[in-house]
Amino acid sequence: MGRYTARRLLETIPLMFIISIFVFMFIHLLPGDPARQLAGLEATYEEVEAIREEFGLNKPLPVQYFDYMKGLFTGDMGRSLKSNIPVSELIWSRFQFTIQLVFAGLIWAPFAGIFIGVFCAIKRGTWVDLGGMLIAICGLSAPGFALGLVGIQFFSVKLGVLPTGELDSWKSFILPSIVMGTGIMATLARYSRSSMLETLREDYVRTARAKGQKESIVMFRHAFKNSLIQVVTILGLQIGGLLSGSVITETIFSIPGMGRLLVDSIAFRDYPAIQGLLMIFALQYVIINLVVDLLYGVINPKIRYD
Amino acid sequence: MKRLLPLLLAVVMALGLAACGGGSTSGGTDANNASPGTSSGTKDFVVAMQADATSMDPHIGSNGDSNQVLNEMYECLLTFDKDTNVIPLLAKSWEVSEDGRTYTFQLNEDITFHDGEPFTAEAVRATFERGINDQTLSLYRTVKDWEDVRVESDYEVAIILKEPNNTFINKITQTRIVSPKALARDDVGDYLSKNSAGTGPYILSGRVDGGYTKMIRNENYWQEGPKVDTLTFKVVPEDGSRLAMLQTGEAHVAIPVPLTDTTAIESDPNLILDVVPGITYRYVTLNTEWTLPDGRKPFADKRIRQALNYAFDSEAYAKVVFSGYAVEPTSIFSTAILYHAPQTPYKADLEKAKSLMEEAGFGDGFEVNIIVDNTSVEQKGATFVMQQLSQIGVTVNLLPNESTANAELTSAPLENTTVQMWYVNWGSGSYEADGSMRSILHGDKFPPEGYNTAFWNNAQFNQLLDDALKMSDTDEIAAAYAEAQAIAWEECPWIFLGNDNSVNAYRSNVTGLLYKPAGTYVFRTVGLE
Repeated sequence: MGRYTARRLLETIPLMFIISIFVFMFIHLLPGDPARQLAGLEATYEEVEAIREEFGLNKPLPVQYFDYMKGLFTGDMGRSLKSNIPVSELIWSRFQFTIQLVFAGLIWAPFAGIFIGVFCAIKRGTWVDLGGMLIAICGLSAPGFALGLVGIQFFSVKLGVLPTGELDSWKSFILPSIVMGTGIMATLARYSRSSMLETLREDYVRTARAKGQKESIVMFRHAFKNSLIQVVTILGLQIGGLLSGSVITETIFSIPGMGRLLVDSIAFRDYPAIQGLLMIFALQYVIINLVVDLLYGVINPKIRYD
Repeated sequence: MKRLLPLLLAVVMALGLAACGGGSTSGGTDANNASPGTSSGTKDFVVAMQADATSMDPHIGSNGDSNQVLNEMYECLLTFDKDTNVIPLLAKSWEVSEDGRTYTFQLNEDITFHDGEPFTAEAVRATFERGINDQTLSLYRTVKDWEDVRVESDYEVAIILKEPNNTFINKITQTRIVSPKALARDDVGDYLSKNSAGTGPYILSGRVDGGYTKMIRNENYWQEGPKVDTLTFKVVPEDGSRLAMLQTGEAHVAIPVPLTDTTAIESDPNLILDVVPGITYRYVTLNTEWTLPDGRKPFADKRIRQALNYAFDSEAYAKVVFSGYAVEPTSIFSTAILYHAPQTPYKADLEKAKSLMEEAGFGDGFEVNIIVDNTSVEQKGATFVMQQLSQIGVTVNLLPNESTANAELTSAPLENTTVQMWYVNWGSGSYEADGSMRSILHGDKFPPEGYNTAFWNNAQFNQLLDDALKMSDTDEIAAAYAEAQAIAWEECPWIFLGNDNSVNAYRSNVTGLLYKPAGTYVFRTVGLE
């Protein structure tokens, strides 16, 4: 597994290099001029040109890309054109909010989702199954935006028991946690139910039952464990999405996470910040995929990497 | 499963540890572990703002949000009162030379900057030098017309202009004076982005970019100061959340107030809603050089431009788009701007509009594109324009786009421009007439030099603006600007849409709050009952 991990990590280097080229090309294809944004409306053409010169925005794109990569190899992601803060510092400060938000969603949603899914599969065709899937459908259908605003209106404005946003006390985590986790819970409930049902039809489950093993052992030792592979794949993708920031949750609850930073940076055409964020997001996905692949081996020892 | 469990636990613990790390706070004089507005025993004043300040460097940010935050930490020689009259601040008086080029200021004494440095005439000079040597700063645009700053004594300073300029007194209200000690640092940019070095009533204590900016009361403030311990500007982009914070008391002021939710504010006994004239003026530019495929230039004909104005119902626009919180335009800029001269409004008159179209040979109308920012309120306004003009046969195609993309489109020179109509707004932050007209209507300000996307070039109008700039007699200035407004009003380079009201909402226990027509608040003497 060690060699496999090392190989996968090495493969990341050319991958990130290719991603960097695509990201650089695409962000410069967007119409809009950060120099004009910086200069303000009353600036003359010469003043806008001076800003372009100062920040190297008038250089040919390959030169700008080369400068950027040169900086990146020395650990310098550049400075935000908008706020003049080093991009690494900016991303780190936002990452800490995003990770809190991700944690708030993950602390309950995967467990609740898998529990509902497995329980529904075991009780297939009963009222319990129907109820569980109703919860899942509602969770998938409820837009995070509406859920958040209704939650604020009810729990904060009407009842006055929860704050409207931020992440500065345990109470303030409750509403964002519900909004972040509901979708994950619902998705995992549906996936784990279908995965569990599929597994329950496998020959080895029938064999285990034929051997007279207790139903609980059949369910959890044989069926549940094997049904987890699909669930872990979905969970990995979900976490990757969450780490890229949830613009809606961050906006409703006034949390300065990475999603809002990306939207604000795109609106300003803050090239270094956009480039830095997209590279980090890509890296996060690569790492999560690697972790998910390694988890397959943990869940199912038949899967070998070396 | 036995191997999976520890791994899952490790992931959860790692996430938990990361979460406990909390958001970083940049700079400041306190560690700021307490969350804004929630610490006990102190009076924390919280302002919920839609957008964040661009930077804490007082010479970088120049938009309304940056000004709102920075003005509490930094002061200028002069400022505006609530009626937009220029009044002394760091300067106690001033006089202007006969040739209109030299302004001499007597400065207040016994004022210190946040870094302990005394405020003297040297600070004015140091601020000027920073601005004139760095074109990337917004400060450059306020000092570029200054020839020199002469230190006459510790408390007397003369600013010499390159040529007379009647807008100088208004514009100097935007020149934030910074401690010379801070300006002398090699890392001045970094230092000012994390520390305040002004003379204002509040000192920067903590900031999370995109999250909040927290300040503590300046205990050495030189005049009547705040009655609260801290002032925090929280970034709350969502309208509903901002209103909820005001309703729950988590915020004391919300900027801006969502216009669709004013009923909820009015019906809440703990909230106060106050409406004052604003400076935001809304209009649609008509590209007078735009050519139809058949070679005709519809907007080159004044009758067409006037017809569009007669087809447009400003009263209905204010009600439909701004829930009544806007007023009919009475000139080419807001009533809150100095030297506003009222004109006879273009009352909606479809018959007159149609007959003007007929006269100009466009009785069957024509098709035209309008660009607009893709925010909901802007698109709602442009849709209203589209509906109004359809009544006289003008088919308007809406082209919504991001404001940044529109800024690029509208900065294209005449030979490359694709702009036919532009739904936009303008407001002069220094409340002056020249700033309300020059960049958007003067013949020298065709893109990319300015935003005259009507490509309207009236020699008499241009001359009046240029002459007025050099005048010092206020009656003469008023007469010149009145004539300029009358010309533009008659010529209609735009469809004149309306003038926003500034809607202010705050908690009823707030005292000492002051606000100006641009929707800019002053928190210098605020308190909480």
